[in-house]
Amino acid sequence: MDQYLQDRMEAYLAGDLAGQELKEFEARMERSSDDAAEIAAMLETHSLFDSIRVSPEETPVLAPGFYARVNQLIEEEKKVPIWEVFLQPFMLRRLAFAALMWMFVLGSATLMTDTTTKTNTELADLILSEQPPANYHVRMGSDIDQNRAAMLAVMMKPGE
Amino acid sequence: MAIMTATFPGQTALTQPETKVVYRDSPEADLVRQAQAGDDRAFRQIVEKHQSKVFSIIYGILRNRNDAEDIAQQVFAKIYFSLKGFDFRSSLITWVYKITVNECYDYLRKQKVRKLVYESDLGEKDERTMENSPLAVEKGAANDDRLEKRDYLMKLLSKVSEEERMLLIQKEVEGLTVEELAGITGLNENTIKVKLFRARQKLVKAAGKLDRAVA
Repeated sequence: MDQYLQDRMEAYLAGDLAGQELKEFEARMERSSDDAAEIAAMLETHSLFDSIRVSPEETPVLAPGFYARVNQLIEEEKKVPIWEVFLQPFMLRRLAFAALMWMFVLGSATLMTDTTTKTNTELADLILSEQPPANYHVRMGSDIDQNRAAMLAVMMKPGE
Repeated sequence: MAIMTATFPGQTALTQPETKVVYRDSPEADLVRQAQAGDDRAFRQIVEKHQSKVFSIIYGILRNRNDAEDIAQQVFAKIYFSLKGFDFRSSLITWVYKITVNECYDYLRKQKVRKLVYESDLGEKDERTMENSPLAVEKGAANDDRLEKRDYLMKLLSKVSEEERMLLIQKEVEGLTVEELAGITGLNENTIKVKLFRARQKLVKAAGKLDRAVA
């Protein structure tokens, strides 16, 4: 758009252009149909602001004691239970992230300190050596496969 | 001090240097710092200084006295709780305006959801009866056009940056002049004019898109 028009757009929209300046503005506007169309569209959006503009006479006066009511609201908000903070969307995201991090840390720690393998090895040795552990009552025979199956059945028995 | 700069044809040749206002040193900044330190009297002064403007902006958007007052209270409660985070990168009034307009958006969003829920709870017959009642027709005719325009404008304003939105609202609704805006923002008048022009171009563009989408 013509720089002259751009520079005076605010004054034009506000109705502050007058005399020679206004004539010059309109003459330049008519020289370009694109500029004229853009300015017409700007006038249209400018007029939309009427829907939210109120004159001081139209605006109702605030009821007395506004600060006291603000203060009361602040005091009420200060009393909000701490757990409600955790229900805020941003807090939920943080909690979910923290939970995931904890799971990762605990999982890593469990894997690093896992003794299951060792225990399994000890049990396998016992089974293979045909010596059932004292706390398992398994009848062992000479067949190693049968012994292992019997051992596993006892180990998987609920409540053992 | 004024400086000469290279200009385009027709552009104002004389421009002011781009001096940023140091909000940290303004008299209002002292008041903000006192409020940040927990001084309730300072906070009260801030509230009393800006309450009318805030209420007027909200009332302009909502046109409902009770709702406007509730939202105004919420705005100041929000200011109270976030004042410690105010870093003087803008003037206090610009920051207050931002919170105010955001609260209005929030309210309108919630109201829209409430309306949808309410309408879904009503039977079709109840809905027709309510729409055709004399009170609703009279009230509706008076407000519909304005509300429609307001909603349309709010949609358009949501398509521009927060800075542009504030400039437009301060210029169009508060009636501040380019000079006053320059004083508040610390930018020179030409920069304000350019920013306003670009913001208006964006509004026009957004309106075009929105109209095409509706069509």
